[in-house]
Amino acid sequence: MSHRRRPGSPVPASPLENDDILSEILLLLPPAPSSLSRASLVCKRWRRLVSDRVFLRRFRAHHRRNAPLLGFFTRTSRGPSFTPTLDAPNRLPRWRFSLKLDEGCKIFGCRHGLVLFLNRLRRYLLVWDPVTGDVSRVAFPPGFTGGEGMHGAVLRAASYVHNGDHHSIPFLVALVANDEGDAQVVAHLYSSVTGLWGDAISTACPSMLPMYIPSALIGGSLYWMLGVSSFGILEFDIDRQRLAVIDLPPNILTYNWGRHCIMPTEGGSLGFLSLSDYIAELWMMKKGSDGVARWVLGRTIELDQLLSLDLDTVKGFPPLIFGFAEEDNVSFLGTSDVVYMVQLESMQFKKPFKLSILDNYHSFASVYTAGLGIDDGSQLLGNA
Amino acid sequence: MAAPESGDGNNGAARMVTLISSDNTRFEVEAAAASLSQTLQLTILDGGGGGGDGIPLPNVDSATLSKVLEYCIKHAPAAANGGAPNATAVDRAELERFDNEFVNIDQSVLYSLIMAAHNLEIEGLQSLVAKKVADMIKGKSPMEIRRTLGFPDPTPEEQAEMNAHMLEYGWAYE
Repeated sequence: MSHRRRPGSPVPASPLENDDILSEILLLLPPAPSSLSRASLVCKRWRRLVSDRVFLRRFRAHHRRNAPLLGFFTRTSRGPSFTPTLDAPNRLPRWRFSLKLDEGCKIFGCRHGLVLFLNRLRRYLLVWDPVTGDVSRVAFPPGFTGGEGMHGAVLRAASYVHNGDHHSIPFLVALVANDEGDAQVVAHLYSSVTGLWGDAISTACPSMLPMYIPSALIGGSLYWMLGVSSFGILEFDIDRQRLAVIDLPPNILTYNWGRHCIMPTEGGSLGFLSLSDYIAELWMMKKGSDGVARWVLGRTIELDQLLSLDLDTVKGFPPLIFGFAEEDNVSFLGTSDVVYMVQLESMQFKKPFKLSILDNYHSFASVYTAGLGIDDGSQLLGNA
Repeated sequence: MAAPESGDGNNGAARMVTLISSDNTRFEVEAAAASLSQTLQLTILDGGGGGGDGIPLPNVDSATLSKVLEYCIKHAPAAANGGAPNATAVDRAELERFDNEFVNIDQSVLYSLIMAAHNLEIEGLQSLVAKKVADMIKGKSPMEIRRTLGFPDPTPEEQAEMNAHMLEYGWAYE
């Protein structure tokens, strides 16, 4: 392909021969998992550039706000199991993310490229970055008792701390638990930057925190379902350090796993999905003219029509929600033997995949760069 | 050298500077537009480039420089507003349209622009042209990337090495 220039005219150096320029170009490749692995095969020099630790950190930082949904984790007796949901060539192999856990570890959820586990018996939480392999163990707050109900959430702070060459994953962990004979809920917040738990805050709460429903992050607040004796939603406003108990939308007296889910509305405020047979109701919290926020029924969607299900031939159960991906507002709706990934606002969905596990789907979005010079970076940080 | 104008442009006549390309073509341009270049900004702040002096740019030919200045003139008003936080959606859409059109060019022109944007340190233009190349190669296989960018075909050794690594990332080529 190298055509000769007229003799005498200077051959301009290709700008792509300049490492700085090429790095800036490669940094702007989409954060799809195949991007960098393909670039790494172009030639030796490209491979060296995209395997550089500093470049990889920059790539992850640059794209972390629009990290693609790679798949979801479910639990198995042997630890977390990953199921990819992207199509080839971005479909990661199942075995790409695996982690050996102590016995008794339970997955609490994923967010911002991190997975949170609880080990109640040994009194610690574990934060795992499946892409870099980093694992951080966080011991329970001093004096933390924790009642029957307990849950947690992990998130990256809004302002990303770039620690230069220091290999670290700045994150926050929220731990909420029933306390005081289960008459109140206590919340603790841990910051990996300080390595400390903040002061506990609490609020009266007659309900239990079920251990099996993951949190939702909407705006600057985390939400958990409350249940068992009386039902509601627990709100933890992280910036204001405030806890509140919110009623469920009217007419929803109890909730069942798979039928109800906290999710953001189109406008980014607190929303609630309720499934009943093939009808999906989307509720939203709206401030009235009196300044008081109330539940308002937004849209009602007939899922059999949306998904073109023929009810005469469909066997099994009506749709259940297995999980929700906050990054792109995708609901995992399982019915009979397949799972649909549906964006309820835009009413768009992908070709369904086969249902193999009936459990929480902890959706996982991240900028995948593993295998490119960071595998040897796996290390146990902050081993408590 | 003439003392620089007050620079606030209130007298109606914006301060002009002269840039001289490698092939000795002179370009007269508003200092505000030329100052999008970090390297030129320093010289201009020092009062250079005015009057008959001109700032020589031995690394940029006239074809490339006129293209670079087209970009700078278009983007100078928004840059003067500090990234234009209060720019209207229409203004932003117009700049975006301009940018898209601007990089719809031959690869050789694009490469000259990349070099010039890099040497002159024009941040917005650097990202724009880098994004263009990234878009040209995204979603392509390693071989397609090589062809797109006009790299010579790999030597047998390179090919063997590519194949070996390809096995490692086999999942990315399913």
